[in-house]
Amino acid sequence: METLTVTGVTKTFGGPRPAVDELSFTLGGGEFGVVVGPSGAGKTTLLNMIAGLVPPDTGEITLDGASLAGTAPERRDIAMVFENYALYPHLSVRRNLEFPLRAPVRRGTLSRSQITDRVTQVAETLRIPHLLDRLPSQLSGGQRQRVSLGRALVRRPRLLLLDEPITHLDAKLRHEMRTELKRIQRELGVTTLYATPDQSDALALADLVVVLDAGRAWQVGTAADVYERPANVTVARTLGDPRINLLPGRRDAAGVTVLGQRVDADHGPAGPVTVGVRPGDVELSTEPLAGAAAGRVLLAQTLGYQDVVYVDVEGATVRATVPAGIVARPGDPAWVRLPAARLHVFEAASGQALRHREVV
Amino acid sequence: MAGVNLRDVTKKYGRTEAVKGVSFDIADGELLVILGPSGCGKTSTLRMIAGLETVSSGSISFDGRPVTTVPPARRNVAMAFENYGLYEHWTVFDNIAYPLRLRGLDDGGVRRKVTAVAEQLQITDVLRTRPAGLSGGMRQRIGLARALVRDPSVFLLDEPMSHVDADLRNDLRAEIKRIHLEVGSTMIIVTHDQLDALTMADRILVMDDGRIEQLDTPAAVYDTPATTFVAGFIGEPPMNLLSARRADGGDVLTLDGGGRFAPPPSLLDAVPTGADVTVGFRPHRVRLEPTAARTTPAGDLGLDATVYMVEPLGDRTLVTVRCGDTRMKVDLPGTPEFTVDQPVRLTADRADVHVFDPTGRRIDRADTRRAAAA
Amino acid sequence: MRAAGWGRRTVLFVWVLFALFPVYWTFITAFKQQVDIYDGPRFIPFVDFQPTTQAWRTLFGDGGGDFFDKFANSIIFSGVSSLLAVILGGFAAYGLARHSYKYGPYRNDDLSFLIVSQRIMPPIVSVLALYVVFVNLRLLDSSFGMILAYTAMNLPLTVYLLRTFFEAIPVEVEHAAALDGYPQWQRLARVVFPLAAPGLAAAFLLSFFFAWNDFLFSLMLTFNDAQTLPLYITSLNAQSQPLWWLISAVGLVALVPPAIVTVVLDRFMARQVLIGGMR
Repeated sequence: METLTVTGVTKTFGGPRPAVDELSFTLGGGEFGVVVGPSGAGKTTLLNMIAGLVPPDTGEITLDGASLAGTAPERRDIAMVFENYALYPHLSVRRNLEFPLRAPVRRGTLSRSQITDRVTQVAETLRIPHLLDRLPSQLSGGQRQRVSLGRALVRRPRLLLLDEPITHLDAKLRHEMRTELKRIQRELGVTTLYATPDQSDALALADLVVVLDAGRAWQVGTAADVYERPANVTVARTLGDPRINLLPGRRDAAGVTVLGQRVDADHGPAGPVTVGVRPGDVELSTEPLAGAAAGRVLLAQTLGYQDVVYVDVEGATVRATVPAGIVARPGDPAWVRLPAARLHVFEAASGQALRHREVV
Repeated sequence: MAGVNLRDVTKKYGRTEAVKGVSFDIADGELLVILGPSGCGKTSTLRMIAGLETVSSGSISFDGRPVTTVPPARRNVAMAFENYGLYEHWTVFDNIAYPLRLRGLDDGGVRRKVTAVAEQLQITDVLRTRPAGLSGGMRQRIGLARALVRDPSVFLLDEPMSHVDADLRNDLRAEIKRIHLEVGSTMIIVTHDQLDALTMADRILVMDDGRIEQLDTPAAVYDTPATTFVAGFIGEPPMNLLSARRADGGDVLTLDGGGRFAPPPSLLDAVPTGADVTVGFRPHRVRLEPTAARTTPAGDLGLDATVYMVEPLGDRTLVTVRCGDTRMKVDLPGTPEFTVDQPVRLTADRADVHVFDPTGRRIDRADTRRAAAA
Repeated sequence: MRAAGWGRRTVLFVWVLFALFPVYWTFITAFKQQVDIYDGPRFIPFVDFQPTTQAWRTLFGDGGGDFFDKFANSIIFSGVSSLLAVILGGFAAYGLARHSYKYGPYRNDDLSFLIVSQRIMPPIVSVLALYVVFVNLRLLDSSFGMILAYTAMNLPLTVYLLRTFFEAIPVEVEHAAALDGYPQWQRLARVVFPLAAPGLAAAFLLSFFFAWNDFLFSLMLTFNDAQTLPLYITSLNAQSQPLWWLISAVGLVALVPPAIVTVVLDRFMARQVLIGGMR
C-alpha cells in the first residue's frame, strides 16, 4: 500500500508549451487513480516520468514517502502496461511472464518453483493458462492485453501504471476487461494509476480522477466530484456522455438568462456566464411549456437504451436525452426547458465554476 | 441520387469466400450503415458497390440500371477513404475543387460549388490553408466535402471515424447525419463500431462471416435482434446472453447458473425441448435488488447472483453480477448502493426477454410472428 | 499438381539449368586437363573427357602451401572485420536510433549521412589515401592492417542497415524491460539484440561478402604475407596461359565459406517473422 505523490512536476520537450505543467496530486496507498484527457494532454509523459523513463525538469515524485529522483527505472519496482502492449515478441507467453521475476534486481529472491507457481497463478487469474506456450504474434489483441497485464502483476509491484490499456479492444472486450481490471486491482490492493482518453473509464474505475488537458490538471477529485462538481468548463466538457451542453448566458442580481429565458439559478454581479446542463437534465417537449424556449429538432440519434435529440434554439444547439422510441423528426418544433436546480454556471471569461447542479 | 440493389453477390479471394451471396436493396436517399467485425465482408461489399473490386458472382444495379461490369469512374459514386487521401501540398480549396476541374467545369462554377459545400460543412475558414496542420475532424470534413462536391448518385464512406479522437466522434456522427439530411443523397457507411451504426443509420445491415445477419432500423436491430450475434454485437455493453434449457413438457426455461424464465405461452410453443437455447436481455431492461429485500413476483425471469463489480458512469451505474461462471451487466439509473460480493436477485419482465433457438436465430412470440407475416 | 503447376515447373527448371550452368562448368573444368580445356568445349565427364584430380593434387599437395595461407587470410580478414563492423556498427546504429545527438549544427540524420557518405566515392580514390596512411603507420601487408581496412570499409553499411532495424523495435519494449528490472546492458543483451538478430545477421552476411570478394584493397595494401584468395587466383593467370583447372578449383573452394555463412545465418534472418508480433 504505497502512496504516490506528484508535486509541481513540469516537463518541456522544446515545444511552445510544457507537455506537463506544474502538476500535483496525491494518490493514496491501494487507490485506483485515473488520468483522463484527450490525446496530447500529457498523460503518457506523466506516466513515463513516474516510471523513470523520462526525467522531469522540475518537481518531485515520491513513492511511500521516498523521492524517486535518481532511482533508475529498473530499481523503482514500478510496473507498466503499455498502449501497444510491448510484449517481448521473441519469447513465449510463459517467458514473457517470467521475465520480470528473472531480472537481475530480483536474482536469488525467488526459487525456480516459486517462479513457476507465480506464473501459473497469474495466468489463472487472467484466464490465459492455455496460451502459455504461444508466441505473442499468435495472440489476438485481447489476449496480448491480458499477457501484458499479467507481466505487470506477476511481480506484485509497488505501483501499477496503465497507459490506455484497453483503448484498442472492441466494445464488448473493453467492457469485460475494465470490469476485470477493477476487480483485480481491488483484490490485489496495488496502488494503480491509469491513463485514458475515455471519460467512462475514469468514472467507472477511479477513486481519484485527474483531469488533464494541455499538460495541466484542471481538477483532482473523486469521480463524483469531477462529475457533479466540475471546477471549470474543461472538466465539465471532459466528463459525461453525451457531452454537457455549454450555452452562453448572462447573470445578474436577479438570476440567469439563458436561451432567452430567466432561470432562478444563480445570483451575482452582472456579467456573461456559460451555463452547463447535462443532456439528461434537459426537459424536452413537443408541446409549448411554461418557461421553455422554442426551437426545432435538428436530428435524433438512438444509442439503443436512450435517444439523443439535437434541438436548434435561436442558433444554439441543445442536446437532450430521452427514453428510446420517442419519435422526433428533423424540422419538428420542440420546446426546451432548463430546470434551475440542475444548472451549472461558469464564469464566461475564465471558465471557473460559480455554481453546481443540486444533487437529487 | 439512386437506389442500389444487390442480388446474390459473392466475392472470392482465391479459395476464401469473403462475401457469401448477399442480396439487399437500398432506397434512394437512404443512409445505410454496414456493420460488422473485421473480416466480415463489409469492406469488400462496399468496394464492389464502388466498382473497386470485381464481383465474383451476382449482380449490382443502381436504380435498375445494371452496373456490375461498369468501371468505377462511370458509376458516379463518390468514396471518402479511411485515410482521407488529401493532397497535402494543395490548399483545401484546390483539394475540394479537384474532381470538378477534372470534369472541366469553368472557374466560376468551381468557385460557386466549392463555396457552397464549404459553407455546408463549416470549413470556409480553412479553404486557403493546406491540410497538413489540421485536426483529424477537420480533415475528415474536407474529405467529405471533396466527395460531396460532385453530386454523386451514391456516396460511400469507409470507416469514417477511425482516425478521429474519441471525444470528437459524437460530433462527427451528428455532423454526417445532418449532412445526409441536407444533401439527401444515398449514403453507405461501413463501420465496425456499433455506436456509429445506431447513431447515424436509417437502416443497419449487420454482417458476420460474409453473410447478412440482419437488415433493419437501428431501433429494431437493438430491440429485436435477429440472431445471438447481433444481440451480442450491438449495445454498449451488449445484450446479456445465457444458455438455457426447456425440459420435456415443461413450461419454464432453466437458465445456466440456476435462474428460471417462464415465457408467455405464445412464445413457449416455439421453444424446442431438450436442446440448448439462448436467453437474452438488455442490461438496462433488468431490475436488481438485494436478495434480502426480495419483492419480485414469480413468473418473470428471475435469477440469484452476486455483485462482481460496480462501475458508476455519472448519471447511470453499471453493475456486473456473477451467476455461476457467467457474468452479466446491469445498467441502472442514478447511483444505487451495491457492494461487491453482495447477494442480489435479478429480475426482468417477460416482454424484455429474448429467446434464441439452438442455431442462434431469434424465436418470436406467435402473435408477433403473425403480425410480421401480415 | 495441375496443368498450370506443370507449366510453372518447366519454366523454373529451364531457369535453374541456365543459372547453375556456370557453376557446373567451373566444377567440371576443375577436373579437366589442359588439353580438354583448350581443345574445344567438352561438357560431359567420362564421355567427352576423362576427369583428373591433377588440379586438386597441386592445390592440396606440396605446391599448396601458398593456397592455404591465402585461404586462411581471406577467412580471418573477412570474418573478424565483419564481426567488428557489426559490433561497432551495431552500437553506433543503436545510438542513432535511440538517442538524439547534437554536435554543433549536426543532428542524427546528418551524422548518419556523414557515415554513409564514406562509401560514396569510388574505392580507388580512398585506397590511394589509405596506401599513404598504411605506409606511414607501417601497416602494409599486415593482417591487422587488412582487418582494419575491411572494418572501416564495411562500417558505413552496417550502421546504415542496423539503424533501420533498431528503429523498427518499439521503444516501449525496451521500456518494459527497464521496468521489469533489467539495467541498460541487460536490456541490450536480452531484448534488443535478440530482436535485431535478423538485421545483425544480414549486416554480417553483406560485410562478409564485400570483404571476401574484395580485390582492390588487397592488391594495393598487400604484397605477400597478407594476400587474400582473389589475389592468389590472379597469380594463377601469370604464365603464358591461364591455368583454368587451378583457377576453377580455387574458385570452387572460395564458394564454400560464404555458402556456409549464408546457411548458418539464414536461420537468424528467418526470425524476421517474429517482428510481426511487436505492434
